[in-house]
Amino acid sequence: MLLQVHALEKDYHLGKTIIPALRGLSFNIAEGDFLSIMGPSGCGKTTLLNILGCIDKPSRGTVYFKGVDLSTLSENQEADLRHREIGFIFQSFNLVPVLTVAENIELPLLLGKAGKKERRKRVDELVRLVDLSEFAVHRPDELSGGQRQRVAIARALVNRPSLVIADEPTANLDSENARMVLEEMAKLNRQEGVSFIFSTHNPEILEYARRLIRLKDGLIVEDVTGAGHALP
Amino acid sequence: MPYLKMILFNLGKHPRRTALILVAILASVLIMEIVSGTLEGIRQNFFTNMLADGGHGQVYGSGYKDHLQPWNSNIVLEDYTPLLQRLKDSDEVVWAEPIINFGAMLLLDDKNLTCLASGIQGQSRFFDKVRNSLASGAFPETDNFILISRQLAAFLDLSEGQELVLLAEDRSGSPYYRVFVIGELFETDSADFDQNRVLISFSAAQDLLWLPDGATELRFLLEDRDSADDFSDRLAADFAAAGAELYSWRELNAGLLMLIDMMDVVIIFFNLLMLLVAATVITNAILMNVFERLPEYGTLRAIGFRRRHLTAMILAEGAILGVAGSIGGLLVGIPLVLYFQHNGLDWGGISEAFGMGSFFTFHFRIDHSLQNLATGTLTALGGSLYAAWAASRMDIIGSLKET
Repeated sequence: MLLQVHALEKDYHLGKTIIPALRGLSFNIAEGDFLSIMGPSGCGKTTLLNILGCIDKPSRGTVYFKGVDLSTLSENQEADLRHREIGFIFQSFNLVPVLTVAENIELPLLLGKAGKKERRKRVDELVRLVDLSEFAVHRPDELSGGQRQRVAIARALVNRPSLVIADEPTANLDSENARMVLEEMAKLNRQEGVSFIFSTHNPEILEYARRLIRLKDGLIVEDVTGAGHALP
Repeated sequence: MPYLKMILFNLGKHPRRTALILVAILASVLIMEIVSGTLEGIRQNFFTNMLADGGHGQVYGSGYKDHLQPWNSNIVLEDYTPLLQRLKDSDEVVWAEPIINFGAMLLLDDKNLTCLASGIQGQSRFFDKVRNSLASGAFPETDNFILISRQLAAFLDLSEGQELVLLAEDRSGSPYYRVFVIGELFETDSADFDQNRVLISFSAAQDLLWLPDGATELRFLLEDRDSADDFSDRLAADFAAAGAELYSWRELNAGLLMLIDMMDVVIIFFNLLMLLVAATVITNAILMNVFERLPEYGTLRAIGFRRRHLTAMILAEGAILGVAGSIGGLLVGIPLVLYFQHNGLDWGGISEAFGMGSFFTFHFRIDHSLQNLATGTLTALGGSLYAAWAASRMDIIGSLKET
């Protein structure tokens, strides 16, 4: 099992007011899952993804990543885990504007021990994988929204993570590009065997997911497998 | 390379801010370079001019230190020869000579001028600035010469070869005068010296003051000038027993040395203040850079960068600015210091007041420049430190929310 979530709760404190964002979620994610988390704005999707991605901590409950309790990790261990095992795709792409496509994809590799040749080889693989070979030396401001998100996907996959977390990856894209990005993610899930968890509030995108968790007011109201029909 | 690209891009993205930081560091380093060149010039001026003239040590008659009028003709070395020989017998002494300094009056028809006269031997190793300004480059060998400055000659309307009367009070308290012939005219860098000093031969001074075997002081040079205090301490008792007082150059110039040391301290404080201002400007500018890039830092941390990686990147930005600004400051400052080292600067009455002559040169030292380079760089690093700490302290969620 890739992820085991047990009684997860998260509260936000606004002055004296406590706002419960997650109210006790329990579920598991298997390796190779292609999971969509859906719900209205404010239901806790981003909070859940941040906790699963180790960039936020729960108020109560536990999360196990490949059997390791995330609450036992130090900050540096969390950073190492994110570096080795988790890839992130952001709604706003979050690419470094001065770097080229290849250099943006290469960024996570700079923290590892791979030499220049090895890094170059891996970057070339990813660039081909996301069909951006002819744009490798272009900067993000020279790409369309869909192309930028594909760069972000490649960056998320460059270290061969077990899990890719995407928070509203298509929110800033038109429907055509959104579909292309989701198809890309699905293809990579199939080919690379990487688990994907992505959040969305767009019901049209749901057809690409093989599993759906629906949140409402911080609680799971639906957990369905085999929900998508656009994937083979 | 991506790190360097990211840093250089950020610096180029805000050219005015980057220029402000660079100018702050450049100005700081430039000022430090000029100040260090000036202070080193003062030191060198002291050592080359004042010590060259005053020697590494001096011997006076008993009572010199406490007397209100050190040029009083009663404070003399009655028989200086044994003391001179004592000095010359020491392996540490490379040169020693007797000198007679006394108050005198120049008499010329309707013009009378008080002055300080010095009786020196022809082969004197002191009074370089007088000797070097003479056309012949040497003191006259005759007994009857008097050397006066061009300034004094112009005031007295006299020229070389003309006669001049020098009046002094001898050992018995009686006035005595002699007629001298003006030798070459000298001109030093000290208006005070030129206006008040005349030089005559040692034997003529002995005659004028009725000091057949005496002198007012012995002046000597050591192999190692830094051993002067130790030399003085060792021989003080011997010389005291012989009715003499022995002083090292540090003792004789204690006030000036203290002033130079004080200047060192004042300049350190001045530099610190200036660097504090520069660091504040830098901190502010880099903080603005950093907070604009928080989403980028949040992304980097999300993909696995640790806090220390971000800290290193921001400090590297500061270091690049520090080195670039410091080099800029040195590129302007070093030529300036070298120019004034070659051409000198006339400080007029300011330095005259401290007995250093009105004109002195700066002095360039490579170690001072390297020190200033390091200081400028460290200032920029220090200014970036807070920004780096602030950026690395931000939590990932908070940073990403700035998008």
